[in-house]
Amino acid sequence: MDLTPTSEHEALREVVAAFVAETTPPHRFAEIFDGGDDPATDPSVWARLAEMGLLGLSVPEDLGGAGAGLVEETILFEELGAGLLPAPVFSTVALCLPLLVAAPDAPDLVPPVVDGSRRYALAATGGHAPSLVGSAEDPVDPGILVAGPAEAPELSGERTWVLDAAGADGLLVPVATPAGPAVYLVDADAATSVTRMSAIDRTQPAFRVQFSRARARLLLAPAIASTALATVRRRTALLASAEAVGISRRMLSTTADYCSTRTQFGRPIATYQGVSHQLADTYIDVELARSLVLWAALEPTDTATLATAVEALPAAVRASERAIQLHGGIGMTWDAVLHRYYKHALLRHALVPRPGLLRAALARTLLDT
Amino acid sequence: MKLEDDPEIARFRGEVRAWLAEHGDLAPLVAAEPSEDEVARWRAWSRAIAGAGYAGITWPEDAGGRGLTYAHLEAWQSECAGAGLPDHFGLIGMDMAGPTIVDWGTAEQRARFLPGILSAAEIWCQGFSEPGSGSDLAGARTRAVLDGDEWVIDGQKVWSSFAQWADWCILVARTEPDAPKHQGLSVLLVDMSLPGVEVRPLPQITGDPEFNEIFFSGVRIPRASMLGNRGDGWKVALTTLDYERSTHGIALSAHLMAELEGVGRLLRAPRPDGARAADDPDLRDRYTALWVKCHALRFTNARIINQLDRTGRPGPEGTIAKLHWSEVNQQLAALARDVLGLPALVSGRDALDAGHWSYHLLRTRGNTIEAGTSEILRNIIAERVLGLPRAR
Repeated sequence: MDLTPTSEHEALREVVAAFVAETTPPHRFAEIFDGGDDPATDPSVWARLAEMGLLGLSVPEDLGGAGAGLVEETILFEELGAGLLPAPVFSTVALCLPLLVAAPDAPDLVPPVVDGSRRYALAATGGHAPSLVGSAEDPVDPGILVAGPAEAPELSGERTWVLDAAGADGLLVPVATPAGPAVYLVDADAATSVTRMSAIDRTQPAFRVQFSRARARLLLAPAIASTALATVRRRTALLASAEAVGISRRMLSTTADYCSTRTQFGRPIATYQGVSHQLADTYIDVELARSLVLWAALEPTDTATLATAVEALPAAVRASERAIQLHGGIGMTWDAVLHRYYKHALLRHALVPRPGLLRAALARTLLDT
Repeated sequence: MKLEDDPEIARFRGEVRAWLAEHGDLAPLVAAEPSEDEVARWRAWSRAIAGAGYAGITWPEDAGGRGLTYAHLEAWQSECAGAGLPDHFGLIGMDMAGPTIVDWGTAEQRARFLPGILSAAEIWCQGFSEPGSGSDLAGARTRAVLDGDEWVIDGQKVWSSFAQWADWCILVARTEPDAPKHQGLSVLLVDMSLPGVEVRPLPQITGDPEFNEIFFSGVRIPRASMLGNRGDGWKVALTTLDYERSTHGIALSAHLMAELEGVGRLLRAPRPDGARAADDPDLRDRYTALWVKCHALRFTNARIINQLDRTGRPGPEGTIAKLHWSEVNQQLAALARDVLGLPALVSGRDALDAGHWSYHLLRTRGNTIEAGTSEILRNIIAERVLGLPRAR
């Protein structure tokens, strides 16, 4: 087994980290995230991400991608998580590309996404669904009605938690059909309304999208949609976990710095074991999660990706919560950067079913077969 | 990056598996408190291991080892654990004293001691902790005073596993009483058969005298018995502890995966009424959570092994291996306890699985204490890995 990053991996990490640091320095967080309606709209950032080839790392070369593996993508997302880059990378790379790559007309659809000229958003969830991507047993959220003739289908209904919908050219809508799940493509301007939700994570805006007899076309028929949606679930679990490692890592370093300089009773608070041991525990969490992410990137099975999410996503929430605790009152302020990471960690945690359900799915494989 | 073994490691693993299959019947059944016959059998098994070249896998060739990688060592240890076979009897020599002598010993010391460690001809114990100095190892008060060409040792050590069988002890003693405490220590290699050395067994909470007290009164050893220089004792001891927590940690994790398998079997086994513990939602969830944690440890260990093979030395990051292993091992023991209920509370060779579950339940409490308490290991991560200001 060799889990040592190669020099290419290190170089990729440095490039991404430098780009994130340049475009999203923490002292500009308020300006970037609290200003306008949508932080994800700086077109120059998107163009440069595409130019650097970061949108198609794992897309096959004949579809315009780099043909690299998932390991490269986990490096990308760890750095994005550590820096909170406000761009729709996750929704594009983790959520939409697996569906587009699976489509029969992928050669037309995928290259414009990889080169940054077109973008899609996934409209998978509606009503009160607890997570963004479903499970193997429950792959598609109901709530969308398909009507009209087969050659000119029309969608009606509502989706929520459509990440990065503003500025997207099209919406990918998984729908339950009698023959199984299918995925439809709707032009963004065919939606009746796209309104931003007041979601607490402002680093990745979420939208409510309504359709009323919106003209659509069938992107993935049931035969291929099930497989493609399973890929979306695995990639979501894995890449959200990679981001979670980045979040945890940043919460650890920020808090270690703070506790090393903040003094109480005449000495740095990091010299108190009540403080330093919490930081040591976050370090352990980061390294264990990092190991699982590497495993799942090299062997992206249901088992490995679920196991990784079970550990990495709660770890990021825990790391942020410890960070807030160890910063004391400062940790509760809007001005501190911590809440932005915490809220992003909470959103990542909620993209997949809660850990208990993930473990229940794992248990069926481990104990019942 | 890849999950598969390198072709060379795969070849080595296959060779180990074949050797274990052919010679495994030589191995003793290792009980918590082996009888003299079992110890003799274990020594013979260790000689066979050494003869086949599986002792000192990572030791340099000029130290009598194979000069192979830690990935080879992991393959050996995981194959042994997977086959339910014990490793070498000279555990302290192989994993702690030996590597420290390789790093710090003179040519004479290496020639004198390393062959006996590899062949299990000489068994070692560690004389580190004292009644008054456990976590604060640098506060050790056992003293050695130079008298002519001899060191004269007086003091008391405690928690010394294998001391009842040991021929040699790697001992931390204060030789420079006037120096600051970290600079006043030296490491001595002590012949356990000398007059003035007394070993008293200390029964553990398992009932077994697995560790011992060692008393030294006026024990005289040659001046040349020092490992490293006068005053180097703290640095030498840290080398031993780093090996204990990382390379030895690799072996422990190999056993953890075997333990996980065992608990999985308990869960899947149908009870007389046909129900399985695996159908209980709580036990199911806990098993799955531990399965994930064991795999997190497995891949973290792989990263530590990669690091060891690149740099040749264990680093403080290896501390995670021991710390996480100890906590997960305790949680596995507690899960087995709840799967079994009352039968987990019976000891002795007539109990279920020869008393393994009650033994494991009690013995694992020591895992977070031995080789550095979890509290001390968290201090090490805080100070040596995260670079936080020192508490002391």
